[in-house]
Amino acid sequence: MAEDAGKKQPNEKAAASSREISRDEERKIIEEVLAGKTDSYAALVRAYENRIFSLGLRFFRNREDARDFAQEVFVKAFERLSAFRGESRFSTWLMKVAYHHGISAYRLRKDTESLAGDFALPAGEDGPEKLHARGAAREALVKAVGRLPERYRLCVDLYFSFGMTYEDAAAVTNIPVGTVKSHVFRAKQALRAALKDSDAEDFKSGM
Amino acid sequence: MECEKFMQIFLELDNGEALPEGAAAHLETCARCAAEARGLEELMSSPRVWGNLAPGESLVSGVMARIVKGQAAWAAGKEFFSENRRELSLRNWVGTGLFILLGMFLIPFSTILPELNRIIPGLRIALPLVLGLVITLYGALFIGSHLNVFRRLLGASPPPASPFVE
Repeated sequence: MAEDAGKKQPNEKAAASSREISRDEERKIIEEVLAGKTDSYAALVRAYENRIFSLGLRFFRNREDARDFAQEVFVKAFERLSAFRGESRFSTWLMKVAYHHGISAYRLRKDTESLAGDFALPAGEDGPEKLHARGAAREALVKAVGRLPERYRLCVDLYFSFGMTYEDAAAVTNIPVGTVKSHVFRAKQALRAALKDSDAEDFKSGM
Repeated sequence: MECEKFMQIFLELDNGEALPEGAAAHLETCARCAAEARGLEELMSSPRVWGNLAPGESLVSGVMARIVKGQAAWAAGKEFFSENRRELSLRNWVGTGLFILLGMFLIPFSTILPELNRIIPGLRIALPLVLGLVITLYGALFIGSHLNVFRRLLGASPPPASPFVE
């Protein structure tokens, strides 16, 4: 995860501010935009700005660059909107535009560290003891993802952090669905093994 | 269903996918698997926060400003080209093409060429290159300015609507 993203910003806690929109709503907005009602596009930006900004943090590791990246992606998506055929969700198509834009920008900027190298997990709502016990499991997932070749890290991240399906993550990254599935499965297995270990430790310390 | 079989199915589940009937039935009867699945589910969903970070101030105004600026530049460019555009008739295109072809055939008979060849020794190699460039340029300009005609002839669908509508 990005360095900046590691520090919890107050606005990040209220991250769920972006409004969910249905597929029908999306289609209606896109039709309006293509018919010349440019202002309607703002609703799509509002709905997906958190996602694209978060993806930008994976590539750039600082908020300013991630903001610029997100703006560029939305402008690019607007320019290419006529090419969106509605075969997938708009969010998947937008993520694909963002992913490819990010990859080319990342290749140009070799100063960045490895992609999604700091895949991190938030602490959640657990109490301090439980948090400590689960820490090892969280660590295991981070390690499992970190061990993957760079190009597969982001597709596993798309599954876990962005809640994408195997198929959508594969469509965004152009990696075969089977490959995405097997990497996610291995990450889940690592998580399971670590969770078992941490629960065993919990049991021992509880005796 | 065995616990290991259940976990295999559980770990293979896609985001948003429901458990198959048999696995769901096992979950209801096996407290150990239920606890493990709950723990895993909680851990697996915790990274979601990192996929939904807010950029602070909304991006809407910045994006819309860039779009409006882009549209204005596009409209200005379109206006410039439409104002300065000169239609060339098909007769002129054909005439120019014939002139180029005729020039190519007449060059070997010209007395200027041996004279030039004495001054510039590499001219024989350069000449086909120059002629190739002239033909390519002519062809590119002709195709580029008659795209609609070619599209019609080939029976291709019209270009998609652009968001940069007037």
